Amino acid sequence: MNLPLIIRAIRWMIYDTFRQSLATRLFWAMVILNLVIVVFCFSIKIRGDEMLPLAPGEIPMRLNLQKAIELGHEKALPFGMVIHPIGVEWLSEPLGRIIAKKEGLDIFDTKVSLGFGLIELPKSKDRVDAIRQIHVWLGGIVADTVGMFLVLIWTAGFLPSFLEPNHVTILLAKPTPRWALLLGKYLGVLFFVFLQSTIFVLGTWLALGLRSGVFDRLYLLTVPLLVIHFSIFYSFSVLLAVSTRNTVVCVLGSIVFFVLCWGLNYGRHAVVVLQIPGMSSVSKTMVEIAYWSLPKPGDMSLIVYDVLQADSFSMKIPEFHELQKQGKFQAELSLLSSFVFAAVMLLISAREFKKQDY
Amino acid sequence: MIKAIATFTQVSKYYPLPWGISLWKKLSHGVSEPTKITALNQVSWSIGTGEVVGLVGPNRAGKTTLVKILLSITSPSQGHISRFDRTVDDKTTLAGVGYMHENQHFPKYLNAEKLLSFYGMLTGLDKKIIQERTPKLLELVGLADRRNEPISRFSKGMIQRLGFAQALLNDPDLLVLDEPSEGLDLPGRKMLKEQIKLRKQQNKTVLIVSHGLAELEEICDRVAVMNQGKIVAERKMKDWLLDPKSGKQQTLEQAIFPLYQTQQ
Repeated sequence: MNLPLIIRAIRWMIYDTFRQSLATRLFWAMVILNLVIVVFCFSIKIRGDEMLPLAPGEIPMRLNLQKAIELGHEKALPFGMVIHPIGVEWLSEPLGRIIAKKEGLDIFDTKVSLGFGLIELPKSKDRVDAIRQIHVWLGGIVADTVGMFLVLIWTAGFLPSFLEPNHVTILLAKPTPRWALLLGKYLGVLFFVFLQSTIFVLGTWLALGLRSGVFDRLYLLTVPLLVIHFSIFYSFSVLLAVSTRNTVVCVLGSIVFFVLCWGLNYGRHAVVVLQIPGMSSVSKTMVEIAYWSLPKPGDMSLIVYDVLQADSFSMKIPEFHELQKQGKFQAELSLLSSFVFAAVMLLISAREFKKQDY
Repeated sequence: MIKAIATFTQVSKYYPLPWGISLWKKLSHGVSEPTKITALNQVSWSIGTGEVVGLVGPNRAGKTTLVKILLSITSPSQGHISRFDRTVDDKTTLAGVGYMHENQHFPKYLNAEKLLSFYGMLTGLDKKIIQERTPKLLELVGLADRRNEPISRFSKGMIQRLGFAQALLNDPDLLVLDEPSEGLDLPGRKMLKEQIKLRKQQNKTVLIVSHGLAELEEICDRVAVMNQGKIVAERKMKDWLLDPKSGKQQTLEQAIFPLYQTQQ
């Protein structure tokens, strides 16, 4: 095996995929889509918790009412919060506000809107939590679910067009092993997704940060998570491409597979948590086998949620909470089994590609 | 005796019929109906070092399959093939082979220069060598002035020229050309013939698959005729051009034409 040749070939295949994405205009189409979301994030408006002057060791925020009560009068004061000694009940709307104003109390009352005031978000606890909540939506729903689905569809045509006989035949007559060509193309698509994820995450992080002053670095961890998640699903698309060389089959197959895995993943968790009456142990075993054998898009959303430490400001779906309490969801095992799936798919694809006649 | 650069021993290639057709044939014609297509049937043949060999035959004779097996693009169903004295499973020997495909599709987003770099890298050539050879080859095939133009703007003839440059990039010991003059204009054909002759002088081997018999007549040392998956005749060019019955000169087309008909 000529290792330097293989490394160079893989590098060139990655570069070639990037050029392919530029030529098909997919790269720029996705950049534009990402920029639209970035602009949307830049339109965020937060009112009611203006920043206080920074002093050494001081958190540049006011506390919200609930937290201030938890901390107590003395501890809350440095944050610019004053709690009336008689409690908070009378501060409730609308009378409480009038009294508070009379008493000269400083009430934290954050309002968050997006789309230059068009969309008013549910009242958040404070500025930091409001932004972190948006991070969870962006990372867990926009990117990891909708984005993943779209990218799978859009990139499904990359390999079939590469494997088109009149194109690939000349490459196959080169000394580079076939598996290296395939791996290079696979990594090339991952690199493309990495670039797009970085633009999305970094762009939204900066936009939200610049407008709110909140730069939560945990959000940046969603970039590797998105690439990992995509790499698992794309391995199935690779197998479809090698076996059929057909873009339509790849696109439709990827969609069906993603939806199937999504349903199975949530279905399994429902089976575990809800203890569906009348379900046989054979059915439960089959669900478990399917869960552990296939990629787990639902688990990935949970992992994103946990990585962003969203527990402190956002309520998890109660069933998921219960699942974790029961110890039936382990992020490491979930990821590992998904990686095994991806590795098996790639090995089968490489084997299939090796024995195929062109 | 000329040393063989490639040898085929009892090589056969079968393609299975699609399962639907296969099932229909079995049901309608009985179990004995073949469920595979024979593309090559027990071919034993060799190509010698420094030779310019032509491979001709009617459509679906198995010429392209033979070439693809030689280049490890397709695997044989039976038999043994050696390339540079090694089995064709050893892909490293492809570093000494150049191949021009009959209907090549290059990535349209590349330009001529980048395409040669890309294929050169996959052949295992050093960057320096690629940079050195690329302008010379583009000059040779008449594309020097279009080196930075996207391939999407290239005509069929230009693509052929580029394909030829690509095949020569590694200065191969074995050059395999499948229908090389397809779509080429007269200067292009002239350039192609000159290059093949030049390679012959350098003791390099060239295998040409072509329907252009007049061109083969000019450049080949030897021509083999394939039909129905077999090599049905093989002679040196001077022997083809001499009618054994009358002792008169004949064209390659006149000599070969009966072989196309008898086997069909």
